[in-house]
Amino acid sequence: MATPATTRPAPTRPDVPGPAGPQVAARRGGGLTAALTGTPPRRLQTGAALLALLALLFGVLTVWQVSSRSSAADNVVNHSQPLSDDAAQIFRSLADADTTAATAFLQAGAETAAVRAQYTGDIATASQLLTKAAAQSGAGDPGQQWITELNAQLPVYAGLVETAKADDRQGYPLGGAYLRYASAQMQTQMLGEAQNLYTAETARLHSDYADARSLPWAALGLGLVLLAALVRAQVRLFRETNRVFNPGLVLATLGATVALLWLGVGQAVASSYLADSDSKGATPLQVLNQAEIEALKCRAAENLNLVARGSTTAYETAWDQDKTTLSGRLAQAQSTTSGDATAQQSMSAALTSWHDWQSRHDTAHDANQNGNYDTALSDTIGSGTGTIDAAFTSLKGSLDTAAAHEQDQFRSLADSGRGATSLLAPGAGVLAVLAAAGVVMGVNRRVAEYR
Amino acid sequence: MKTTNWLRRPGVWAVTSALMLGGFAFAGSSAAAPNDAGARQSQVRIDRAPADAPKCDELATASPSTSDSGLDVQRIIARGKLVAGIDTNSYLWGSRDPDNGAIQGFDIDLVHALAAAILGDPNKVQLLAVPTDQRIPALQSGLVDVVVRTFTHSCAREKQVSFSADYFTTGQQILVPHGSQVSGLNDSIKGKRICTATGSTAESTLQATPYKAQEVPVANQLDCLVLMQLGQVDATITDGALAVSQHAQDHSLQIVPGQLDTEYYAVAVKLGSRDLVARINAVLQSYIANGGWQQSYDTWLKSYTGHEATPPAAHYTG
Repeated sequence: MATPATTRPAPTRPDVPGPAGPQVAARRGGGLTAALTGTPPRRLQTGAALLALLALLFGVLTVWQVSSRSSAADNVVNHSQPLSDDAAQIFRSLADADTTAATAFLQAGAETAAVRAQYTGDIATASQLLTKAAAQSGAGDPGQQWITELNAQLPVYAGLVETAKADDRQGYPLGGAYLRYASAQMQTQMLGEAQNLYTAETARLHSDYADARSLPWAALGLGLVLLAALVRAQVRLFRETNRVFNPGLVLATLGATVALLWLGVGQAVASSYLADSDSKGATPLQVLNQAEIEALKCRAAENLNLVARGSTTAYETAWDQDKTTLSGRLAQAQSTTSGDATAQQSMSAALTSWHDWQSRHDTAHDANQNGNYDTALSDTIGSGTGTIDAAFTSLKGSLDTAAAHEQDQFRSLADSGRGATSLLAPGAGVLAVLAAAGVVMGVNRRVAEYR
Repeated sequence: MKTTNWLRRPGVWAVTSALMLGGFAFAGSSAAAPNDAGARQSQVRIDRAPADAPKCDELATASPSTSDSGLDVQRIIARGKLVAGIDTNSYLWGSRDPDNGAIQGFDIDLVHALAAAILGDPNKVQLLAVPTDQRIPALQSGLVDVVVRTFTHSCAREKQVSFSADYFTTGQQILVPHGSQVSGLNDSIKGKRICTATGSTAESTLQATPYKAQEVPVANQLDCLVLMQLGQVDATITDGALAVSQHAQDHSLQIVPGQLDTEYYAVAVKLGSRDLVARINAVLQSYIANGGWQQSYDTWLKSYTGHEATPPAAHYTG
């Protein structure tokens, strides 16, 4: 094609400048550019192609970035948060098993069915969750190592507890030594590993949260570039043709604007919901889990002190330390849930129980110090409503209620967050394609005018 | 409660019923060993006495007196109750029957005999479980009147508490699993893992031998039995009375014949309570004379030690 602009000048464009030709190309520099922009229609077509490409690139980038955030959010809800919660549950079950084993030991021959069932249930829960966690974590997963070790130690621990009970029923103090050995294995090794597993799973949760909540800067930036390019194209066309609107380009601009707004607002809303699901769900849940774990440690120290029957002051020391930690955790849980009336109700009930527990502990402690071991024993593990066991059970119940509430909060806020971007990826994709089509369509009409 | 603050001391891992925490470093140098069990076989007898060891007669004690007029005896009578520091984890010596909660054993029988003589009722007692390393502080603070808890009479401890006449003779022994070839602290124990309670005489005994690197230290002699049953140690050194106690809880164990040294158990009271010591010595004298001691020995220990025994002869010093 020679010079269609000169052979067939557009009648509607009398003021169109003459063929820019090689000079323009030369001014823009580059041989390839010169070839591609040899003539105004060529130039238009090339510009349109670049704009359309930019729009499609924006679409692809948006779909990719939004999808990766959605899948990170899906991971939070379906994978890392449940795994983190499972890890906490593994810890709780193990700590509860240790506490309950000591209670059962103290009940000696009169071990109640409820206590036996609780211990068996704890071991079964820990075992099931470890199997589940092993199945869900791939090779090289940081938690894998702890899962393997816990899986190996759990049956050994259970065996030690049974040996302790069997010896005790023979009337041998050796039973108490076995139970203290078993408990030491639990407290110094297994609970440490469970804590490591929990830390690893919670770190993954935080990493997924960060992925899900990060704004798609690349897509947003490219969207702005696309908008700017579309506006600039229209301004140039207006200058060249004196036509204010090119329907195709207007459509493209509209599509790009909507996509960009949707992207920005949608992700910001999602991010804010996810932030809430963390601060109003997952984080309080973690604090409550920690509080419950501390409560179990306190209870274990108290029980084991009676198992030790004055052979050591180590458990007294452990109680004093764990008591301080638990008070701190409960205060933390109360402040973390301060904006939530339902959780606050559970927390104040929990604090009342904790208060009762401590004063009953002091009473039982004094009885034990005065040689009234049996009184201390019944005050501690007895089944009445005024015992330490009752206060502990009630504290645990309140923490469980609060935890269940926080779990619901987490789930609903995280689902809202995921909902905010559920149609974003396909929608932005369609809008980007629409914008590209608009560009091509609009410019083609202009180009046709040169023929 | 101020009086219970000693139980809150941090980091303390008391030994359930280990007898001789640090207190027997001098037993090997004792001149008086009249009741030393004969059979020594191939044992290496360890002389662990440091050069500056205080020399004393571990059998020396105040002459018996049945007078109740002393201040310390009067305090017990006024209270109407004898507060005794005991152990609840030494099988046959002081342990709790899990079925009925009764605390029983050779030491507990002696506590009841003391109450019967001083207060006229064997049950006027308050039994306080005292950790091994709290036996002396409990006496010093006045928390307990007496400690009857497999407590060895040693010259070093005489600086902190006063002792009654000795009521039992024992000595360090080696416990091994069934079928073990260990025959004593000799080549047969080379390379074996040897369990002792931290701070016990057993530990210092072992540390004075070429096998010191083989030590597996634990907080409590009963923990040695747990480790031995779990196959984590090959031998345990503890004193004979507790070796018998461990053997009673696991008949598959073997006690290597012969003792590594000679030690005596005595009732301990607050330092300088001479009137109470004299009163207790009178009770011990009649407890031995009227067959109470023998009956208690036959009930708790004879079937496990497999031999007759007599209490050591006291040296009264007026």
